[in-house]
Amino acid sequence: MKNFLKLGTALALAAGMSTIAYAQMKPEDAIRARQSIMRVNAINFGPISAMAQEKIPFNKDVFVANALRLESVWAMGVIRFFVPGSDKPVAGARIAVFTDANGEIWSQPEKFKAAYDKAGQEIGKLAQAARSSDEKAMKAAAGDVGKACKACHDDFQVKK
Amino acid sequence: MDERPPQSVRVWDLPVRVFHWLLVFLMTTSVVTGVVGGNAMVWHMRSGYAILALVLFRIVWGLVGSTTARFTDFLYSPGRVIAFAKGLFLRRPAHYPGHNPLGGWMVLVLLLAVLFQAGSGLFANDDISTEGPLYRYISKDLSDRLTGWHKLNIKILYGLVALHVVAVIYHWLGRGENLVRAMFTGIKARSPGAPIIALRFSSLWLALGLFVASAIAVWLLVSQPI
Repeated sequence: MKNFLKLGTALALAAGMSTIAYAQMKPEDAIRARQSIMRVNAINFGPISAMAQEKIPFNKDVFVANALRLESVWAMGVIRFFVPGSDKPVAGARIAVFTDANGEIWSQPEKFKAAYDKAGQEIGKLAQAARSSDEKAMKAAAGDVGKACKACHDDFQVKK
Repeated sequence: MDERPPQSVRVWDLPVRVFHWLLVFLMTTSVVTGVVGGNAMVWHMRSGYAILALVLFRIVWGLVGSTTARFTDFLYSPGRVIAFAKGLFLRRPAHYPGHNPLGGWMVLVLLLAVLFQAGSGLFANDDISTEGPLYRYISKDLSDRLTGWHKLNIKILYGLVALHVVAVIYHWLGRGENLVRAMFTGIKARSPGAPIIALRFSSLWLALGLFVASAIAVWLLVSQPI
């Protein structure tokens, strides 16, 4: 019983600390993390979108590899890195010198989460289409991913 | 022998009319594809290139085209503009076969705003997968700034287009001038007592040649190999 209590306390502490760990993540680390993830998303999505728009020739292997990588990178949960206090870059920080994150991310978290989830769904459908090897479905799914990206950017990116 | 002056007068040449309605169609296409996003962006870009070619043509046509198409014909001095604006609301009749002094400046402002919209789009990026064909020549920061102006200027264009349409409706309902029909047929009703002004119309072959040259210029600009 005593051991069980100890274990429970340790678990609760660990859980609490991990929550604190995220909450206390340095803003510059959070900004750096989310920008890195989003950049890798864009690197993977770029050729997919270009193929879908017939700007470059369709290459099924490249399309599938990029779609699956996009799904994996998205699974990292970039939303975790929009921590409180990371709406502005840290003055004088050598890294994360800017953020395009709009304040509404923190003032309207449900709306932001919905836009984020929508993008995740479309990326899931894109990966599913890629596994199906149906070229037409793949290209259409790529368009829907682009729309979901745009919808979220329109609402939650700083107007430059 | 019928000595009465003609009741209607041809004012707009075919190039001006085709330009106008193609621009209406292409601007609608650009707005719709830009709002939809996704794979429609490929058509957003093509539509933008076509608009650019069209506006380039129109600017050259404003220098060498038919009388009513020329900037020198429809850009009046501030004094004339103010006098016309006063008369407009007093419903004083005015006789301008082509653009009136207010409309003339509106044409220039609209042309410049559309030119800026198409030009800034060449350098824009959307942080997703679409980049203008000239994006690679400038920094990401500058591209972001131009993208911001691209998004701001479209709102200015909405306002200008709304003003343009309201003015046309005012001329129709308030003054009995159907400018929309004139922009289709090229023919305006001549108000009684209006002086007959000799209008010169330039060659359609010249217009075609200039448009093809504009289209080639835009094509060379946007289709450089990556």
